[in-house]
Amino acid sequence: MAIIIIAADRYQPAFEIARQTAERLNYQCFGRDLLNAAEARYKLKADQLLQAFHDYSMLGLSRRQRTRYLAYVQEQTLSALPEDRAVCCGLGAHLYVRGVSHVVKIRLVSDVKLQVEELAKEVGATPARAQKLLVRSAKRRRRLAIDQLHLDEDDPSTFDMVLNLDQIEPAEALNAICETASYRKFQPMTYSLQCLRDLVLSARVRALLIEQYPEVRVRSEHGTVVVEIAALKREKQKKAEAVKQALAGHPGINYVEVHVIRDIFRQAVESFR
Amino acid sequence: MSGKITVLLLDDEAIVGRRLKPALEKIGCTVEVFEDPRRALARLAEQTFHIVVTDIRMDDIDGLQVLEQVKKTSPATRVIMITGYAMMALAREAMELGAFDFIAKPFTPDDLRAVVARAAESLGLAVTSSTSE
Repeated sequence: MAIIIIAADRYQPAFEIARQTAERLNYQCFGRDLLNAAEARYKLKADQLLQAFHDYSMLGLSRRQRTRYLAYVQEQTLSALPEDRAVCCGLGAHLYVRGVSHVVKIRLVSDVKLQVEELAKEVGATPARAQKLLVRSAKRRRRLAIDQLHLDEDDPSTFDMVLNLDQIEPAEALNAICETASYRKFQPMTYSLQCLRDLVLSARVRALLIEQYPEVRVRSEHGTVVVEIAALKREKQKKAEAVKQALAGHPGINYVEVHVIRDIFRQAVESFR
Repeated sequence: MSGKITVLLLDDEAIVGRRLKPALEKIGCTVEVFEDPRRALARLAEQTFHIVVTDIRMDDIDGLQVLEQVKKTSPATRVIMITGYAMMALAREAMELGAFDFIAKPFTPDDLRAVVARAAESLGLAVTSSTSE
């Protein structure tokens, strides 16, 4: 059976549809709650982690913070999801499952006016101010998804189905989601399950290394993990060894390959000293 | 379809058949290997197999065409797709056309044996146990 991922402009109505979908199909349902478990692990509250996606503060998180928080949310989400029979709402989950054929990615669109009203209440701002905050947050989020995951959330082809909740009643949306998830093409297979396992392992490794190596990129295949980090030429050997050391004994890893690319920014800084 | 599990294995690379045939025979399957999809289709027209294992990317006739043909003539036959060019769209298309499973190369003989065992089980048949390689 499939995994259904729901991304939405408004979390609560979408979560209610997710919950009902899970109930009807007898699947497990996941939402923002699963970030509560991240608190002990990453010493960050769920609200702080969610700032990676919804940041209405004046200056916002730094790029480095946002990248790190996204890596933690990604790891937490992928680790919590079972291999099938699950519905997940929010958390940017649709961004982490690229290429997994048994994941049905749904986008629920809703009226901007309602989003503005909700945000105005939440942050105590005028509707005009709330609208500006909403636009800025969406821009930051879009940039983050493109930078980090090479996915444009504004591109409808990112999703298998887009439903407009202004035009389609929640009950109809629920029926459409359940019917779509039953299509044979969304059934798990050996290949798609392996893709998902590879993504989970990559996310775990990245979350483990990101604090020390903010630009780290990770790719996994059948337990072989390829890590790419940036370092100065003279640090190359030392850093590669340190990464291998950090991953030694990690469950699911059979082999680690570390690619060290030249850290041109640090190199430039050092050359001016 | 009953008795010994019959498998038709189609891959245009001879080494695949050479390697997988004994692996499947170890679990009690009777395996016929083909490198040419046309000859495989001709054989499929003569005899019904419990399981067909086919590569996808081949010259002239691809694995998806083989899958369609098998499903037309013998809907109960379980078709397992193997490919070195796995992609989400291809995997979904194969499943939509009725594939039983889709495996990306490289895989181990154990991986294929596990899928064949599941396919056989879904037909009410059981493979014999084997020690892994």
